[in-house]
Amino acid sequence: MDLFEPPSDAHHALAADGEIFVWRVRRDVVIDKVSGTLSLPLATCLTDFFEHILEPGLVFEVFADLERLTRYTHEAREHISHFALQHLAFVGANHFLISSKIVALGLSSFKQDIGGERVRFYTERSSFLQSYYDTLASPLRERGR
Amino acid sequence: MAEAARNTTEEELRALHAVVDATRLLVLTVDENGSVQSANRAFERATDFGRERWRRPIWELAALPNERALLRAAFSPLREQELPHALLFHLRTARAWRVVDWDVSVIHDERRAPTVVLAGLDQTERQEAEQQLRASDALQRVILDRLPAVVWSTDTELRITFGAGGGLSALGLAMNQLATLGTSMYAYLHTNDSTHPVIAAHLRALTGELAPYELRWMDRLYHGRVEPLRDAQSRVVGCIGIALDVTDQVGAAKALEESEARLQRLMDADVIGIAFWDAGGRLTEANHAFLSLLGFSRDDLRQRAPSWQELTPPEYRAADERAGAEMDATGKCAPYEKEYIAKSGEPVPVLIGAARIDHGKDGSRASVAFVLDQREQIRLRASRDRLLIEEQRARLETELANARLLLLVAGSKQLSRSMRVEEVLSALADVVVPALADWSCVVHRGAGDEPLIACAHGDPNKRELLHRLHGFVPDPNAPEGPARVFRSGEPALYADIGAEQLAPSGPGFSLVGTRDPEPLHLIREIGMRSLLCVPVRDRGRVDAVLMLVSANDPRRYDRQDVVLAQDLADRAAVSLEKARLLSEAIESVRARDDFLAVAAHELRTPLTSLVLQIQMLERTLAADRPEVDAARRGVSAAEKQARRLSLLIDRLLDVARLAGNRLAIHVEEFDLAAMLRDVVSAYAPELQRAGCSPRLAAPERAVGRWDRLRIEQVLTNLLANARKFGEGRPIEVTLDATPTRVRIGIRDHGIGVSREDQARIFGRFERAVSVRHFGGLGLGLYISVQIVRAHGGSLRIESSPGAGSLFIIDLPRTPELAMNVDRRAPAGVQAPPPPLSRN
Repeated sequence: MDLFEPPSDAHHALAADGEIFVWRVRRDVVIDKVSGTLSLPLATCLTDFFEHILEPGLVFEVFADLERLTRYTHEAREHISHFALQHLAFVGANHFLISSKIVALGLSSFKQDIGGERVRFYTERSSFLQSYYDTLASPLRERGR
Repeated sequence: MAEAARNTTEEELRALHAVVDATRLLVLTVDENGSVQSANRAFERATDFGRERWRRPIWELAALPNERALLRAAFSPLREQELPHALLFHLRTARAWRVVDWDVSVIHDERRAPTVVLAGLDQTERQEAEQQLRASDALQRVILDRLPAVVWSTDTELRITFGAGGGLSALGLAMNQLATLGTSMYAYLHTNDSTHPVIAAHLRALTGELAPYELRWMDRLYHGRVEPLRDAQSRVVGCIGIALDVTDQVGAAKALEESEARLQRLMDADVIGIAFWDAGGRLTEANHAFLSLLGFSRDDLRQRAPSWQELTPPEYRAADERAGAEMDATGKCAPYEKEYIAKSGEPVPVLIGAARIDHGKDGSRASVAFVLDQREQIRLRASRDRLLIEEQRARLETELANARLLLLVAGSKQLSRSMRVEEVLSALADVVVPALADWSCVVHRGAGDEPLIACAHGDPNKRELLHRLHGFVPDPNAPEGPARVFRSGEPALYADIGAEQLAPSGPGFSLVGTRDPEPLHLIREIGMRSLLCVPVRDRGRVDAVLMLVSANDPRRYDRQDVVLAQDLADRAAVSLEKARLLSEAIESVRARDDFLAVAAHELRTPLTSLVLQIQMLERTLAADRPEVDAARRGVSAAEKQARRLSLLIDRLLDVARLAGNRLAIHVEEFDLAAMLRDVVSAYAPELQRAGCSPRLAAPERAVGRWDRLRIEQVLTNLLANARKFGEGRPIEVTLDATPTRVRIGIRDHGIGVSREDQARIFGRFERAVSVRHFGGLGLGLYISVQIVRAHGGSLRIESSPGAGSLFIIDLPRTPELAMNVDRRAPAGVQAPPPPLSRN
């Protein structure tokens, strides 16, 4: 079974050239799966999802399956970076499974924006899944508790 | 007699029977009980009944129940007095009913017994004929009423005597209710004008002529015709007229005419190709636009009309057939795109719409096609598509350029924050992940034999493997990979690395510089599908190599990556230089502090000595009887210390001049061999006191143009150096001369200088040994190398620890004086690069 197969109630957005699913697997663990081009509508879908689940003290670990993401737009990258910087207290590790050189370039900028210690990159699905299992095996991450 | 009478009666009876049988009347006789007694042949023919079928009660021959009841009431029992003289009933027959009109009469025989005789006339055909006639009249009336015309007749006074036709309703008159019957045509038309077209036509008809006319009446247009109405004697007794409402036909004809005119104009205008195809699909007619589109002439068309199949590439025939089916169903087809084959064989893209225009005798239909040349549209579309693709590509390139720029900016920022070489290397390795690499490694020459290595990996699960790789130092002699970049100073791109290249038995050594299975295994575990190595240069020397590694598919490095990686490496080089300069500045400050301590000590020693001598001299002179010899010795010693102080101060001034680029060189021609002999000779006593017997080997003469005093200063410095570090061992001085150059060698057999120190002993305030053991300002070699370089020459050292040192001065005989001394360059020698390996 594909762990990263979106459930039927996943937050979802579809654009002409791309698609995104976002869902929560644990209070502090979120998965997003993006394909095609990450444009502003898809980026907005992602940040909208987080807007509704942010809780004081909760630190999120995000697993982004971007293996089928081929491009991104400047606006989308800036929108996500801006959101992440605004809510840096909630940002734990961001795990990105990537295969595109172009996407890697964009994520590099994201890494520079929010700090390398919060960003992990994978080109092997097995390693990405290993980190996912490790995260689910770890206790809930909450600040001050 | 009676016999004769009886015979006569029988004959008469037979004759009567013959008459009855011969008549067309149906004859029956019925007895007093109502049973049919006899029937003639006409009855039998009409009914196809034989005797056995007609010999029955009369009412059973009636077809309808009410008729049977009526007959039964009249005949059973026979009510002779009540019998009607005529009867009409439907007679049953073997095939169908017949309508028979019977005359009824009663005769009595000798016994007065009544016999009813029925003689009937078959009315069936007549009734049917009458019905047909009535139906025909009705039909005529219906036809007349359905005609879009008015039919009428008048008498000779033009009074309307008959009117019919569907056209009446258009005239506001109900059918068969022609209120104008009997009305004069003048009154109907509200005119007395005999030239009115209708009146005139009637008047002409009355003269025996056929008179057509046209009349617009109540917004309709009528074409009428009036003929004379004649009686049996062919006399004109009135008029008969017919008028057709031709409004719609005329309108349609006009519309058709206009449509044809428009079509003709369209054809003549040649803005669109128009072609007519017969029912068999052959091109029958086309305008110039269509013919020129396909490259045909009218002569071509006349000689042989091509079929649509011949003009259509096979892949478009199905579309044509679908269009044909659509036209069969709806009369026309929606426009669609196809290609024709031009006469030249070239495909011609068109937009085509078509319609059926005619019925053929066999039910098939001809068609007309309207054809628009799509070549320009296709070109425009292709051009637009190209522009779209180019625009998307440009947008992507812009995004990529933007991302690369951001990467460079971020990289520069991160690098600029790094103040130490190790930090720069670490930042450089980190900044390229993941933008340019899944993992990266920077190999730096390091300060000594030990290289510095920094690595980064985006995948936390692979970092441990990468750390284990740290202990591995690649062979600097490997033919490829970073070792090659260190040697060549050029980037090295290995776009596609197969697994076999990293196998222990494979050619992995050439790339990664090891045959050790462990690091090869680690590299295979981490992944290396594509490798890019770029140099990090500082002052023309490769100080480090940045290795970018793509661990998995599909990233493969290309020339664009080389440019970006090199750009980052160049920025890193700036940061490295900055770190190096910072390190050097720190080191310079340290050296300066050392120098100040040494200078204070060195200056204080002769100064203290001088002060003591002066105090001693003062005391000597203050004695009642001063000793002249003692005073003279004191002055001499004081002068010696003062000279030593002067020398020290001169050297400090030289350093200041060099720092200010103001070292003055005054060349003159002299014999260097003679000078060398003088200097060695003058310095010999001091050397000998140190146990260093000098040996000189020089040619007789070596004349050239140099600064005598400065060259003497260099030789003295080097001899003093040899004495200091080669104490107790001989010193060899050699001079070799060629027509253009001279070379002076000064060799001691002292402690020697390590390779690491060789690079820096020519720097300001530098020394290879501790101040405690070997005094001096550490300026002698620095000043010497600057003087030699100012003459366009070089000063270098060949040495190793414990094996003594050989200083070699190489000078041109007539030097190009170069006062532009590089104040930063610490040495006049270029030491070979340190090995990357401990091996």
